[in-house]
Amino acid sequence: MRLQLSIMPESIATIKYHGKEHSVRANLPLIKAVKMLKIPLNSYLIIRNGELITEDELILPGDRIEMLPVISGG
Amino acid sequence: MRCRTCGSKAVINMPQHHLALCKEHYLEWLPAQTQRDIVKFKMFERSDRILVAVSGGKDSLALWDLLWQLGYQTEGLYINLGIDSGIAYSQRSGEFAQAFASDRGLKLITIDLVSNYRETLPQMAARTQRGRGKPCSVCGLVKRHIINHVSVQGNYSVLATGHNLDDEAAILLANTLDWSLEHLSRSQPVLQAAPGFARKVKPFCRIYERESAAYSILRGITFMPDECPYAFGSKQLYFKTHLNDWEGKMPGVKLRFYTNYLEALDAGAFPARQESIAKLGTQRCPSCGQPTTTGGQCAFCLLVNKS
Repeated sequence: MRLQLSIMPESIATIKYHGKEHSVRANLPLIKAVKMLKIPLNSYLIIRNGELITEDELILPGDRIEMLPVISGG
Repeated sequence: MRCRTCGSKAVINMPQHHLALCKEHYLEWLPAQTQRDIVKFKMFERSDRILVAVSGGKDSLALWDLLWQLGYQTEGLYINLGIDSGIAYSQRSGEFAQAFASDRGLKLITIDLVSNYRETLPQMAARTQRGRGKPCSVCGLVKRHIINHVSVQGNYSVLATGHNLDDEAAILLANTLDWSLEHLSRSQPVLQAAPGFARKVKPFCRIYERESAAYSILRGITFMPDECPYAFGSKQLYFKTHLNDWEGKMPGVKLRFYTNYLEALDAGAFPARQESIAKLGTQRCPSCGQPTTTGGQCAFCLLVNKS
C-alpha cells in the first residue's frame, strides 16, 4: 500500500468553504480572508478545531477553518 | 472581539444586535430571548403539553433542547418521509432525532410514511401535478396533516415548530411579492387553537437561523448536516440568500421586516385570518375528520386515497 503524505507549510492555513479547501496565508486577520473569498459572513458560522470563533481572530499557521453554512430550507 | 457581558473572548458576533458574546453568556442569552418571546406572544405556559415537530436538523433540535432546558413539558415528533436520494436522508435524519431524544430521556414519536400510507413522499409527489419533480409543496401538505393529527390525537395543547426569523422573513417576502393577503394573515408567531387544531407556535420566530445554529454547536447537539436533497434551487433558499445579502449591508433588516409586519398585523392590516379560521371550523373531511376548507375530502386524503 502506498501512503500519500501532504505536509502543510507552517505559514499556510486552510479555509473550507462551499465544499472546497482554500489555502490562505497565516497571521492574517480572518476577516481579510473572508473578504478575499467573498464569503457572506451572515450565512455562515466560523469553526476552528471544533470551536466557534469570530471573524476578527488571527489565522494561525496550520489552522483548519471551516465555514459552516447555516441557511437551509425547502 | 470581547463578550459584552464578561469581557472574555467572544465566540459569536451579532451585528444586528450590536452584540458579541462568549459561549457561557450566549447560552444564557438565547434561551432568555426565546423565553421573552414565549411570554410576549403568549405561546404557552408550564402547564401545557408541547409537541415539538423535529426534522433531525439544527433548528428543531435546538428548539427542543432549549424548551427542555427551560423546563417545559415536551415530546417530539419525527416523520420519516422515506427520502433517500442516495444519502439515506430520512433514515439518517431520524437517527439524529432519536439519538437526541435518547440522550436526554425524552419521548420521540416517529411516524413512518411507508408503513402508514404505503408510499414514500417522492412517490406520492410523483403522482401529482404540483409535486412532480419538486415535492416540496406535497411535503408541506403531508407534514401539516400528520403533525396536526398527532397533536390532536395525543391531546397536546401546543404544537411547536423550529421556524426561525430567516424562515419567516423569506415566507413574508414571497407572500408580499405575491400580495397574498390570506397567506400574509397567517404568518404569525401563534395560531390559536381551533376545533380540530392544536395551538401552533414558533418560539424561534425572532431568532436568526445563524443564532439557532450557533446554539446547537455550542450545546454540542449533533444534527443532520445534510440539506434535504429537494431543497436545492428552492424559492425559499433564493429569498433567504437575497435577504442575507441585504442583511450584510443593513444589519437588522430581516428583524425589522418581520417585527414591523407583526405590528401591521396587530393594527388589522390583514383581516382575512379570522374568516379563514371560521371557515375551517365548520367543515370536516369525511375520510379523516380533520378540518378542511373544501366541501369533500381534504387535500391530504385526496392525495393518499388516489394511490
